[in-house]
Amino acid sequence: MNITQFILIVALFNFILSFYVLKSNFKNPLNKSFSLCAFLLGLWVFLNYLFQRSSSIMILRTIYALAPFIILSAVLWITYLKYRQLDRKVYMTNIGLVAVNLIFAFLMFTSNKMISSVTDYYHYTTGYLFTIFTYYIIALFLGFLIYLIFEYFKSEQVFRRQLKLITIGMFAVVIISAIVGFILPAMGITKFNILDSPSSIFFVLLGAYSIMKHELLDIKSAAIEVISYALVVMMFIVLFILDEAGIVLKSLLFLIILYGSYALIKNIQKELSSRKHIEKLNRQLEKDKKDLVELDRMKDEFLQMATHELNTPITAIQGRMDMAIRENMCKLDDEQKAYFQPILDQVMRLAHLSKDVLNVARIDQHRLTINPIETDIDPLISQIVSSLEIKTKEKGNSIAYIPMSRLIPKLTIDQSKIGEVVTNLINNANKFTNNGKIAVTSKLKDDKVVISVADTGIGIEKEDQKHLFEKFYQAGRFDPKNPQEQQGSGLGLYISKNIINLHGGDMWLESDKDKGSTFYFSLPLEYKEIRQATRIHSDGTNLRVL
Amino acid sequence: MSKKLLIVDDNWGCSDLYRMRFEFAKWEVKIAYSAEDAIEIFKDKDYLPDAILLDLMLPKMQGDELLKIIRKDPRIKDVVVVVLTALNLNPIDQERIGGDADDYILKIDILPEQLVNRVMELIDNKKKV
Repeated sequence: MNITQFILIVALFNFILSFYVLKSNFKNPLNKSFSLCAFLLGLWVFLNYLFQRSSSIMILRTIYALAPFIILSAVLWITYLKYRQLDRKVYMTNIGLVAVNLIFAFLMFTSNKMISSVTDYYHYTTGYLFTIFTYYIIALFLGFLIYLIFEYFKSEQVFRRQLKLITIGMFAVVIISAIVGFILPAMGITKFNILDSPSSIFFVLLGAYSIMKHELLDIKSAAIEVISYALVVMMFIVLFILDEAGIVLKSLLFLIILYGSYALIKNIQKELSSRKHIEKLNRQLEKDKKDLVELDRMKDEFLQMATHELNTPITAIQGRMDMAIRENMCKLDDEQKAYFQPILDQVMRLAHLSKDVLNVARIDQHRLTINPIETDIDPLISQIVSSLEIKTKEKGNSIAYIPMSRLIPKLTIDQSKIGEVVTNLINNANKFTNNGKIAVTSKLKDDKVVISVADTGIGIEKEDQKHLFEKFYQAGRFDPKNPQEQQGSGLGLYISKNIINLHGGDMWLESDKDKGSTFYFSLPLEYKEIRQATRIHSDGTNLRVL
Repeated sequence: MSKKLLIVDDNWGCSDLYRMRFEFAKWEVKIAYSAEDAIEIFKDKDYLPDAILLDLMLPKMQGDELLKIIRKDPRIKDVVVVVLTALNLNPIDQERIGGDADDYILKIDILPEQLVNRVMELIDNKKKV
């Protein structure tokens, strides 16, 4: 093992790091830019190795032509590290510098004004253009250093710590290069000049470590893998190859192994403590989830209990009032009936509200369920229309049902829920129509049955139409002729639409102010179960508690 | 001969309401304020109601348990049982708890007159079967 073999290892290390980082997430620009930088550095070190062996002028020219691209790739990486993207200014500057680099590269290979001849690794003849190129490289490098320092002072927290390590790595490269490239040769010692290019390892290593230590898991795992392989290689070299190497090289390898081992141990410790922390958080989360499920169950139970307690007196009042007024079991006169009728109306409204509140709670908790069975839709609607005929006539409205022109197969629907929807739509139509017409129609359209309830009532403003199916939304329509009928909870259409959606259908409306409204809903001919429920419903133990 | 109805409901407001309406329809009505009372009534071998209105939430034994007992008793298992409750369960729980009943009706959903008609309809349907 000699110094040249060591250089080869450094080049290899850079290539592997570049490959792994790119492989871990080749779509991430941060990975791409880091990978490019590590690859170019690896190539640069490798070319130095080749040049040392062959002293070819083309290799030397490539080494120099490559240098400014390496600096630019480092700038690109630092920018992505901090900003995750390039702003226009940085992008344009980079494009400009790439163009300049390409011109120099072109001149490098085509003109003797750059490098004209090579004697050996340390001696080559250069032209005046090479001096300009050297100044350009120095300017570019200084520019990069200033950019690095500038970003370091500008940044905070994690990025500041990352940049600190990268800057230290960069300065290590600068110092080593200065010592082996300028100070030692000035003292007549040139044999360490070869360490100039592999010193870039400090930049790459500290860069990788800074990322490893702070966030960016994809690069972190790749870097750990690379460091592990590198350690194995280093150990192999130390144990089996490195017999005659000098103490400096041995010490250097020892330090690298020491550093790599330390980084790995620290990383594993950090991972372990993070895992413990995550496990603790996970346990807490599980507990919180259980508590929430229990709270949710209690809320459901409370609501069911509350509506049960409300329903009992409502039933008694509603029943007795209906027997007294409509069935006239108490022989009331018209004046008395007129006096008590509002009580019956209000208590019936209360009954609806009690059901609506529970339905809304079920919708919100994704627990609204339907019990679909095969049903002939025409007789169902026909029956509902007939049962509401007296009610509509009381307001001078006529109601008609226009069934489908041809027979259709039975629909799989929840009879009771669809009945509620149709009743709700007819009641709404009746509420806002006086001495008009209500037409209920069912039609076959493609693979769906579309049912509509049209009225010739007061219509709905365009603005209200957008919100009509929202929970608690009440259109500002008011018919002064029937003030007692204008009240609503703003829940009926919200519940209806949800019921229809659970059947795989949809609900919509068309309306013109002062001309009337038509509400439509569709039901698919072929029923497919739609699970609104995401949680398992009560297992019956609730009932026992109740 | 007038039809016989047994109301099993611990709430006086409701049980009295249904008693009044069914009696108006010339039914003979008995009220049990608990499942245990109902079991006691069933011990009278001469008493066989035509229909039972059964509340679910009762003081000790619950309505669904009484329903199971009724359906297992050869003497009364074919009686029309209407679960009539204020408990608004979702359809799946309704099916699970009241599946053995001839109908499951939410009290606020039905007016007394409609209830009488519905019970008559259920008795007729059962006779046809």
